[in-house]
Amino acid sequence: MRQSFSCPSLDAAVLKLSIWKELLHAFRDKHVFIYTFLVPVVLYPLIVIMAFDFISLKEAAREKSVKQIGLAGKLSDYDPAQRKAIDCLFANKDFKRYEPEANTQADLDWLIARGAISGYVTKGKDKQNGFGLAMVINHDLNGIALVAAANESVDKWYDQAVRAAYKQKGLSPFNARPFKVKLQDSAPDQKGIFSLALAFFVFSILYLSLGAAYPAISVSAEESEFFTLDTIRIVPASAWSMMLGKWWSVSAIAFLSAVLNLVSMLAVSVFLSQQAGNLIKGLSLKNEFALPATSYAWLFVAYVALSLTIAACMILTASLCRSVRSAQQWVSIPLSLFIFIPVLSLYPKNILSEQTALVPLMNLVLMVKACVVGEISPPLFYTAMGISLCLAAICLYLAKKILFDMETDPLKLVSYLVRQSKKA
Amino acid sequence: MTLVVNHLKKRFYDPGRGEFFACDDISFEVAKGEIFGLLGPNGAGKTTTLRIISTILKATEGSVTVCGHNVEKEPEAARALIGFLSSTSGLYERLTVTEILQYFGRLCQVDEKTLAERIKRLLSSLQLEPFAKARCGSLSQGTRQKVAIARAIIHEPELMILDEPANGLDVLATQVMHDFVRESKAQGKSIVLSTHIMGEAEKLCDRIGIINSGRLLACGTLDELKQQTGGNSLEEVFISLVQDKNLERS
Repeated sequence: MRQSFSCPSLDAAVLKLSIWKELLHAFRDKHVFIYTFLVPVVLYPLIVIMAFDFISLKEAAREKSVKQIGLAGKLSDYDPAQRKAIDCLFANKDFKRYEPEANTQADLDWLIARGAISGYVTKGKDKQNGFGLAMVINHDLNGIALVAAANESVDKWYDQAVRAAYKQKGLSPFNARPFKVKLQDSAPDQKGIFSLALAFFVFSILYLSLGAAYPAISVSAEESEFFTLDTIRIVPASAWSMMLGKWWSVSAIAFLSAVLNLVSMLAVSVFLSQQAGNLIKGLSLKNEFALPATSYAWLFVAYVALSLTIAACMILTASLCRSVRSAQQWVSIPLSLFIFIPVLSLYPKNILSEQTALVPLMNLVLMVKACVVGEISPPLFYTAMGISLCLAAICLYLAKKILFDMETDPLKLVSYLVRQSKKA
Repeated sequence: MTLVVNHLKKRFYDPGRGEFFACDDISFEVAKGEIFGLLGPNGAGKTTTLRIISTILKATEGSVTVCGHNVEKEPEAARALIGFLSSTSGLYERLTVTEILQYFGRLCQVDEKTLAERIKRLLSSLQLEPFAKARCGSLSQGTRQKVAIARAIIHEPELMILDEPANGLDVLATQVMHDFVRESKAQGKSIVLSTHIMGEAEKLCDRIGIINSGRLLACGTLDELKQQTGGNSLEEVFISLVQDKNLERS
């Protein structure tokens, strides 16, 4: 007779084995292959291209409207070359000079914040390139497009002369840009209302949710449908280790899915920027993603926490079902929620605060947003992760109860409880 | 005794039927090297009884011990001694035959060297060598059942629980299944076999328990059952017991 042995509640070997099995089984699932690998690499880049086309169209429409541009100081304070460039700018009928003359920079900043002017021209420190002129604009797509249009309007008049001068200096004539762009935020409390980096990160969170859906079904509802759940319930191994193996595998696939999506979108954007000179006129991809290393480190942590939380929620939902088909329908409920939350987080007033840090899942999405706009706040981040991982732990506990301990169909149990409560 | 089932009761709730007992005071024992048949119509409570023995379900009342280990109090120890095989093969569709055997062998803590030897031996004895690297989803029903057998015995359990194992199998696959049962008995393994096929029970079982509506109506060797009911065959014994029970009820 085989010797009896005690089975610890967590067993590293079983955990490792479970992860190996779940990853192998999930990666061979055509649904996982399609939704985790094929779609982010093929479909979503297409959507990105379409989105930029749409933005370009809107931008073209915006260019047609007349912009009020201020001038810091008096025109006589500028040197002749600069004055000529400023004249060129205002010769363009799309730009109107904001009166009166001799505004201070502080006044003009305030006017930008009020939306009275679109930007203002001032002296730049660097006279090496162009005319030593800078244009202060708001840090949004509209503002960036404005500078591009202003540069173009000066280029148009000085085209040949400027390009010749650049060529003479051994520089590419296509780099001739009279205005050096200075970005500023009109509303510092709503920092980074919109940026390409934020859009990319938020979009990849949607994909993280979708990437978790099929693996979650594979590790729970599929096990019920094909009766493999019974076979693992009767092995002398720790159920918690197997459950953790399932959870970590789904989380890893979800994380991978988000990263792949992000890489794919970036690759398409780089391709587009190379094709068009700039992604959107004047918008530098390099600047958009030039985040400090700490931001990237926190982003990584936030994505891991998001993967773990979303995977646990998905596994719980799928474990309520006894067939893959029914799980596909049920999983669409949390999936809709997980798609709605990142979109909601784009709303400018939604920022990570002491209050929003207490809302699970939403807090992690806002943590991503905070990392992208550079508002690193470790205490809030720890709270957000703690709250969301608590939700994940509850989901996982319930899923383990349903998969490994429960004897009847959980949906039947719900109907039983409803009947009992009606009787009562 | 390898298996002792003592006054086992299991209550379920069904929205249509309300509360009911799938097992109602079932008791029997299985000795080492014995094949015990659990014979009954569909819905008699055979599967529920076997699922309680194999620790998938928990009994409402009563107890089950496997080689002295109570399945409720020491489930892990009992599980190490049980091999469970059902008509629904329960195989991972996208894992290969070898991967499944490796997975379950490692879960049952069989050491790597022994596991490799056992996998080789099982693939050979169940004629599964050509399918070793095939994914289970692509296999025929008979081959899948062979893989399920290999999976159930990879840890060489003392007690084999076979829940209608020949369901949906063709003649040749059924023969393989029967040969496996006989071989297991020859190796001194105890077997609990649930079936509703009289011929199968008659051919394989040392003792038979007849179960209907959750109750064990009779238990003994085929001759004892014949004597008890006056029937000439297992079929007559079965019909006589089930009809008597139905008359009692009405």
